[in-house]
Amino acid sequence: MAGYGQTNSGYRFEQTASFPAERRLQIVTTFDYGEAMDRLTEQAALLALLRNRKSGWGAIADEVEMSGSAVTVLMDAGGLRPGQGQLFDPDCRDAELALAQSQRDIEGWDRQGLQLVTLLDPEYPAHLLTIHQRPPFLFYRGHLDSDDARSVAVVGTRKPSAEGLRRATDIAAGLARQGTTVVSGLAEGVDRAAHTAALSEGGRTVAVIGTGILRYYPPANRELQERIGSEHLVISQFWPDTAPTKHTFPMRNAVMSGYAAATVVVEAAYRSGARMQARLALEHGRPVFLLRSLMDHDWARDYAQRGAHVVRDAEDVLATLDTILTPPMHLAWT
Amino acid sequence: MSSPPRTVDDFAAPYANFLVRVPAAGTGVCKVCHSIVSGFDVCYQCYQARSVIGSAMADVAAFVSMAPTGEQFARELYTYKNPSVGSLDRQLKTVGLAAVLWKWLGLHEACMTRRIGLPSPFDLVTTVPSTSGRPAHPLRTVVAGIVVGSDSRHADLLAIARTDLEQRAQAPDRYRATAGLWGKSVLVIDDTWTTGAHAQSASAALKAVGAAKVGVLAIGRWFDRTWNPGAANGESWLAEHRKPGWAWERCCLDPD
Repeated sequence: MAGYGQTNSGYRFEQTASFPAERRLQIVTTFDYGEAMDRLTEQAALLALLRNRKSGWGAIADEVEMSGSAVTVLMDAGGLRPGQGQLFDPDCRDAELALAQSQRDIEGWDRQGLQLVTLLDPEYPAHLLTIHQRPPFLFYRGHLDSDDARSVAVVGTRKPSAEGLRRATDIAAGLARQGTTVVSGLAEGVDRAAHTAALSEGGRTVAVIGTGILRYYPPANRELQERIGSEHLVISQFWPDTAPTKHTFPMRNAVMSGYAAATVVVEAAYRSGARMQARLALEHGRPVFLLRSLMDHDWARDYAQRGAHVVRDAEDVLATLDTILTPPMHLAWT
Repeated sequence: MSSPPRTVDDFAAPYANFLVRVPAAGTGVCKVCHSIVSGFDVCYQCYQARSVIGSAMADVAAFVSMAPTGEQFARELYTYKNPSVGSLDRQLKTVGLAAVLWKWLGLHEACMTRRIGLPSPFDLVTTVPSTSGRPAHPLRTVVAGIVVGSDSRHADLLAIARTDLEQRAQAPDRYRATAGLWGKSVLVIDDTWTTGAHAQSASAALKAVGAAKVGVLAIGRWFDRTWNPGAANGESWLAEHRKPGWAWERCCLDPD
């Protein structure tokens, strides 16, 4: 072996300028689209690219990221070659109409109090950007907070035992008392208990929902959704009026794993969204915490083998999380 | 700054949940770049490299993991170096990728040197300069700063010589070597192999100044799953070859 079995004595990360401003400047100077290159136009262009597409959103997201501009991608798709100096042209009416329609939609949603953030915007949630299923846009109510980079998702079954409910409450309250944002999915059972416990402790809680943001599912959680949206944050990766389907919930679990720094599973059967979220989080390379009481399940023992941490309480979670979220200045072979 | 040292295994372990096994060369697998091919022993891109670069091609190419489009490892290779990603995430991803590379080199650099008949490790280790002209590429930080074992052998050996080339064109004069390398063996490390144009052009530049042996290690072998050459199908090729699962101990230069 060529001397790999040693300890690094320290290194520095190189500094880089922030991306969006630099990249936009480059686009504006390269392609003279004039004054329209603002945030609203970019957002509208992105929505226009996705509007009539049921699948392939990931490929569109890739293309927009590579180009740094949804307007560029839309106009290329609409037939306008870069450098012609004109945003719209008579041969590109579809793109023009789609863009104008999206702009009107965004203004309409804005009047209903919905906010929009896209993966080109600097306030797009930081961890979420690093997973392959990052949604091109999020609708939200409430406020985004970059401190959510230390947030923890608490998930579990919709039909918990009394013991499971108590555990969900304890862990969420414990996290909230330490100032950690509690993320969950606003479902019945464990999700509801986790959100409620964080609120009772005066903590921040974020709901990642499996429907459009204008929907309330289950209806019983409507009041809770409205409270979280007005005091903290509710996010949705779907068009605002999207109804719940069997596909929307697993998609939501991927986004919840991506949004939070880590996922804690409280009580969950093999066939559950919470178990699926644990798998997705492992496949994102994110820390997964399993309450010790889950170790009766084969799937939980299997996930522990694959690197999930078995914990008793919020203190265990936070101690491990702090280490994981600190880039080390020294790495050692063993 | 005062955090205790963490181990390579700690940092590399989570990647085992999404790294993708690279098949050994053989039927349906390109002899050079280990990707999909139908009816030939090398794929079209490597055939091009053979005709343009010939014997100045790398003597061996190895890959840590496949990086299929739309999966997490491809995302890692994009995010660790992309300035639109926040600096905390980028730093964590950079250290993670360094751990993966470090662990792989510790286990398998010897597989590469054995394949080409070198009795000892590569004399020098270098990285391919960035086409964007960024002076301090994060991969350079990884290879020259973090991975102990490659850092002491690292040298900046390549400079961009031509900027008029298509991104994916094989060209012996794409780079030029910045030092004489008579009789030396060089390991070129790149983060992603898409067509091999950068790696093979780098090999040509190193051999032009006398390098005796050149090995290329790409961390990710980019794989476009929608690409179906000839009778082959990208999705089923990938499904078949990843099936045995990821194992750190296995190297793509081992026979299957």
